[in-house]
Amino acid sequence: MNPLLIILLSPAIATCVLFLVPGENKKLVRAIALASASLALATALLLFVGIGDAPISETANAGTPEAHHYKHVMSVPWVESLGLQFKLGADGVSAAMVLLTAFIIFAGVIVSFTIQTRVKEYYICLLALVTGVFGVFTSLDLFFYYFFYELAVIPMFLLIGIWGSTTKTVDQQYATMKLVLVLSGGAVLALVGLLALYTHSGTFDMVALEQITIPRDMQMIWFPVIFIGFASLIPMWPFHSWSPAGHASAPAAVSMLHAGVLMKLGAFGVLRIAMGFMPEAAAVYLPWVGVLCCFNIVYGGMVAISHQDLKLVIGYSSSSHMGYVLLGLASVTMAGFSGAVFLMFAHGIMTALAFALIGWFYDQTHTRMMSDLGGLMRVMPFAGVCFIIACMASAGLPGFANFTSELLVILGAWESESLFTKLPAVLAVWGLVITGVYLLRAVKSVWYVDMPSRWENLKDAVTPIQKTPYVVLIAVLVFFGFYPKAMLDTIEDGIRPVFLRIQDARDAGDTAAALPQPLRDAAPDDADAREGR
Amino acid sequence: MSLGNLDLGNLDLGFLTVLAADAGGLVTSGFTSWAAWVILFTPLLVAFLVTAVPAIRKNNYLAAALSIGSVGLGLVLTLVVYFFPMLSEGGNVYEHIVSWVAIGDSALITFGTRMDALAVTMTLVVTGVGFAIFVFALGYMKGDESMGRFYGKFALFVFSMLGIVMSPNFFQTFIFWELVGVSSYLLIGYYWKKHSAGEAAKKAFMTNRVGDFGFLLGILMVWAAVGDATGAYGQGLYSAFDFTVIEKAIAGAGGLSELFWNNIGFAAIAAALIFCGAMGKSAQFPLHVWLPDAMEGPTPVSALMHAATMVAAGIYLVIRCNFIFAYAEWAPTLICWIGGITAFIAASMAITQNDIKKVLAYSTLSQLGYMTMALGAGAYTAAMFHLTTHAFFKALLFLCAGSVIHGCHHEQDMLKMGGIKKYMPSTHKTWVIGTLALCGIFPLAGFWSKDEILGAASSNTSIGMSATILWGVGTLVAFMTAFYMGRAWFMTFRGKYRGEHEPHESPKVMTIPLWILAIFSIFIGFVGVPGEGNLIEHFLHSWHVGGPAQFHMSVALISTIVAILGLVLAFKIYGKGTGKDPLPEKLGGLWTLWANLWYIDRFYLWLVRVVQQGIAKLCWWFERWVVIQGLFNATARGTRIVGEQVRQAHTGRLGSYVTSFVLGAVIVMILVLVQVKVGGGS
Repeated sequence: MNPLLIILLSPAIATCVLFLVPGENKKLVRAIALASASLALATALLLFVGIGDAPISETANAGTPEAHHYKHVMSVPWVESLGLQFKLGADGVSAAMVLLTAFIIFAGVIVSFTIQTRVKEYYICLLALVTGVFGVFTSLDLFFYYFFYELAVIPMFLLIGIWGSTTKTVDQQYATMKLVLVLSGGAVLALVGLLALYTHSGTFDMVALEQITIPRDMQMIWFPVIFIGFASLIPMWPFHSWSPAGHASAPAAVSMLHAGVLMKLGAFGVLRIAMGFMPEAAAVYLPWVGVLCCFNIVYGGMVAISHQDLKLVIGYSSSSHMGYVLLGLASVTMAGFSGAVFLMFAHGIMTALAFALIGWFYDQTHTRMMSDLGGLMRVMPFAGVCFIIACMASAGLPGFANFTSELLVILGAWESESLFTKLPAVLAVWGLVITGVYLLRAVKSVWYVDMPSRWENLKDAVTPIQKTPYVVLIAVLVFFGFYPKAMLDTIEDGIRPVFLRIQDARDAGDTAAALPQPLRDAAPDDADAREGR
Repeated sequence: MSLGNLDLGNLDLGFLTVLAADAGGLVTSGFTSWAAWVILFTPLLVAFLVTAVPAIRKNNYLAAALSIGSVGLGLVLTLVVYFFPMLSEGGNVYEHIVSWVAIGDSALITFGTRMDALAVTMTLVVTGVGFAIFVFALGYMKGDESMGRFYGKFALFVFSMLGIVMSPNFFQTFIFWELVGVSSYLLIGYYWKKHSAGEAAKKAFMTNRVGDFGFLLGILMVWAAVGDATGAYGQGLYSAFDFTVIEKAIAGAGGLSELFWNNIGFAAIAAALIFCGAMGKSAQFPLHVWLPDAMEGPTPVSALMHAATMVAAGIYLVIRCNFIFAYAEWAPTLICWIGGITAFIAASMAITQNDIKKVLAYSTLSQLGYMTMALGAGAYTAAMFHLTTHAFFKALLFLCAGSVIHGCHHEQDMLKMGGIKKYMPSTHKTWVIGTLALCGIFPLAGFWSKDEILGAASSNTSIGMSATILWGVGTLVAFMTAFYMGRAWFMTFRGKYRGEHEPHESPKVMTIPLWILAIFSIFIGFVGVPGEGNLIEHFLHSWHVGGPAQFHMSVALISTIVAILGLVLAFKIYGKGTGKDPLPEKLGGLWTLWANLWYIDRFYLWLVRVVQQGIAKLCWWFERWVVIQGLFNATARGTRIVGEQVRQAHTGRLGSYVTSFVLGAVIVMILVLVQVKVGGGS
C-alpha cells in the first residue's frame, strides 16, 4: 500500500473512529490517538529512509537537468470534466516535512495526556488538523492541496477557542479570531493566484504545472499574490502578529503544531508553488524578500527581548528564526535552499520541544511570566535540562540540527553575489547574538536563582511515558545535528530543480538586462515565440 | 574580480601538501592518523555517560575516575603517538578528514583532525594541565553532592577544547569555539542557585557571542574570497574553510588583499574580524569584561578554563591562521595595541582587587594581553611559548588560591586571611614559586617567555614609534604584575590570621598536583632558552615567521629589575600583613578609576539596560501600535465599519429600495451612453 496513503489515512480514520467512542473512556480515546500517531510516525520514518531508493513514478521536466522526480505517486480521478483528481506523491522535501509533522504529532498526542476536559473532542480536532497538514505535504493536485490547507485551519480555531487560555498578555478570543482570519485571508489570497494559474493552464495537476512555462508578465502579477498568501503563514513581517498571539493562548500541543508545522506549510507553499511554478518572477522578487526577512530576524528578536511571557518570547523568536528560512530561499543558492528546508525541519522540532516544556510547567503554575518563576531546576530538573537543551539548540549551538541549518543559510546568503542577501547575512549573524540574549534570560529567570516557595510542590516529568516526547524530540535534533547528511541528501532532489530553474531565469534576466535597448524589447517576444504563442 | 597572480593550476585541493613539504611527511592513514579521534572523542563519550546514565552520575567517584581517565588517556596517547615520534623524526602532519556536510556530490564542510607540531603542543598543555587539575578537583569538590555532574561538564569542556586544537578548518574551529563557550557557560553557572553565578554565566556567553559575531563574518569573508579564487566552494572536494587551502590560496595570490577586490582594505577588515573571535575568547579589551566575573565558577574550572587553556584559544587561533594576519595591512598593529591596552588596564585593575581569585583573573587578562602583543608583532613562537609557561604557573596559582579558599572554609576575601603560611606550608611554597614564575624572576618559566615577548615588541620595526611605546607599556606592566602579586602574597600568607575559623592544609590529593605544576613552573622555561638548544622553537619551526628569537640582554635586565622593584615595593607596603590597605588614599582618583574597572563594565551595563532595552521597547511599541493596531486591528475595524454602512442600505422600507434602484438604473444608463459615445468617437 502507498505509504503516503497510510500516513494520510491513519489520523483521518482515527478521527472517524473517535466519533464512535464514548467520551468518558479517556484512556481508550488517548490510546486510539496514540496508536494512529505512532503508525503515522513509523510509516513516515520508513518513507523518509526509503525515499532516496524508491522507484521514480513521475517526473516533471524529464530529461533536463531540472528534472523533478516524484515518488509513491497515486492518483484517483475525481471530477474529470474539471480535471480534478486526488493525487498524492512525494519528493525528498515532502518526505522531510511529513517526518517533521509525524514527530510533532506523536509528541503532541502524549503531551496532551494532561488535558482533562472534552478529551474526545480535543483529539478529534487535533487529528483532523494533522490530516490536513499531511494532506498539504503530500498532495500533487492544487485543488486538494487547498482543501487540506483549509482543513488544517478550522480545527485550529476550535482548539484554541475551546482549550486555550486567556492570560494577562493575550485575550483568547481575540487571538483565536485573529489567527483564523489571517490564515484564511492568506489562503484566499493564495487561492486567487492558484485559480489564475488554473485558468491559464487548465490543470490543477502540480506536476503538469511545473512543466508549463507561465508567461513572464503573468508571473510578475501572480507571484506576489501567491507569495504573500503563503508568506503570511510563515509568518513574514509585517504579517506576523497573529502568530505569537496565537501561541500565547493555545494549549501546549496546539502551540507545538502551530509553530512546528503550520508555519512550515507557508514556507512549503512558497517553495513548491510560488517559486516552483514561477521561477522568472521569483528571480526578480526574491532579493526583496531578502530585505523583508531582516525585519523578521532582527525586529522579531528585539520584540522577543521586550517580553516577559515565555510563550510570546518563543513566539516572536519563531518569527525571527523563520526569517532565516526566508533568507535561505532569497539567496538562490543550493546551500541557502538546503539550509532553509533543513531549518524548517530543525526549527519545527526545536519549537515543539520548547512549547511542550512550557506547557508542562504552565499546567501546574498557571503563569508563564518570567518574573513569577525562578529556580524551577530544583523541583523539575529533567524538564529544566530539556528546556536548556531546547534553548541552546535554538541559539545555534553546534551538535543540534539548528546550528547546521542556520549556518548553511548564512553561507548561502553570503555565497550569493547579490548584496540583497549579503547584507542581510550580516544581520542574520547578529541575529545569533540577539537570540542568545532572550534565551539565556529565559533560562536564567525560569530555572536558575531562587525559587518562590509556592512552587515547592511542582512535579517533574518522571514516568517513561511523560519523558518520551522530550527525549524523542531531543534525539532527533541531536541525530541530524551530528549527521546532517541524512537530511541534506534526502531533500536535495526536491530543491535542485527549483534552484536550477530560478538560477536559469536569473541568468537569462541578467543577460536581457545587459542587452542594448532595442534587443531588450525584442527579448520577451522571442520568449513568447519559443512557447509557441 | 582580479585574482592577482594566483596560479590556479598549482592549487591542489586534494590532500594538501604545503605544510608537509615544509615539515616532513603527511600521514593520512594508519593508527597515527586516527588516534587523534580517540583523544578527542573519549572525553565526549565520558561526558555523555556521566550526564545521561544516572548510575554513573550519582556515583561521584566513578564519574570522576572516568573523567580523569579520559584526560589521562589523551595525555598518554599524545605523548606516545605524536609527541615523541615528532621529536625524533621531525614534524610529521597526521590528519584524518571526512566529509561532513555535503550538498549533492560536493562536500561543503569537512570534519577531521590534524595533528601537527602546534596542535600537539597545545594538546599536551590541555591534557597535561588538565590532568593535574582534574585530580585536584577530587579534593576540592569533595562533599559537593553533584560532583558527577561537575565532572561531566568538565569532560565536555576538554572535548570542546581539543576540538579547537585539532581542527583542520575554520568551520570546525567555529563549532568547537561555540561548544567551548557553552561548556564555559555551564561551568560558570555551576552554582546556579546563586544570582551572581547565573549573571556571570550569561555575561560570559553573551560577550563571547559578540566576539563570535565578528569571527563568523571574518570566516565568511575569507571563505568567499578563497572560494572565489579557487573554485573550492560548491565544487571542490575540500572546502575553502580548510586552513591549508586558505594558506595556499593566499600564498598563490601573493597576499590576502589580492584575493579581495583589489586593495580596498577588505583584507585588514577580514583579519580584524577574525581577531574579534580571539578577542572574545581570550578576553581582550574591549571584550575583557566577562573573564573576572567568570570566577563565580568552581576554582578548578577557573584554573583550567579561565586561566590555562580556554582563554588561550584565541591566541592559538591567531597562531594557527597567522598566514591571514601576516600581510593584513593595519590588522597586526591593531592587535599589538589591543594587547598592550589589555595588559595595562588589567594590571591596574588587579592592583585594586581584594578577592584572591579576582587578582589572578585580572592577572590572566594582563598576561593574555602580553601574548596578544606578541601576536601583533608577529612573534608567534614567543606567544605560544608564553601561552605554555603561563598555562602551568597560572594554573598553579589558581589551584593554590583554591587550596587557600578550601582551607579557609570558602573565604575568598584577602582582607580576612593573613598568616596562612603557618597553616598551609605546601600551599605557601608552591604559591611563591608560581608568583616568582609569573613575575619573571630568573630562571623560572616566566622569565624566558616574557623576555621573548618584550624583546619582540621592542624590535618590531614595522610599527615605528609604537614599538617603543608598547615595550614601555610591557615593562610597566611587568612592574605592576610584581606589585600586585606581591600584594596578594603578603596579604594572604604573612602577618596574623584575621578570619574566624582556623585554616587547615589541604589533603594530599590537592597538594600533589600543586607540586607537580610547581616543578613544571620552574623548569618548563628551559625549553625556550634562546640559542641552539631552543627546543620549542625547534619543535614549532614550521610556525615560526621571521628569524629566531634573540636574547635581549637589556630587555631581560630591565624587566627583571622592575619586577624585583615591584616585589620590594609590595613588601614595603604590605609586608607586615596587617590587613590594612593604604593604597586607596595614596593613589586617590587613580584608585577610584581602577577600582571601578575604568567604568567599562558600567558602560556596558548601561548599553544593555538602557540602549538595548530601549530599542526592544521601541520595537514592541511599533509592534503594538503600528503592526497590531494599525495593520491588523484597523483592517478589522475598517471591515466592520464598511459592514455597518452597507447594512444601512437594508432599511426594509420599500421607498428607499425603489429610490436606490432608480438611482442605480440612471447611473448605468449614463455609463452606457458615455461608453457608446467614446466607442463611437474612436
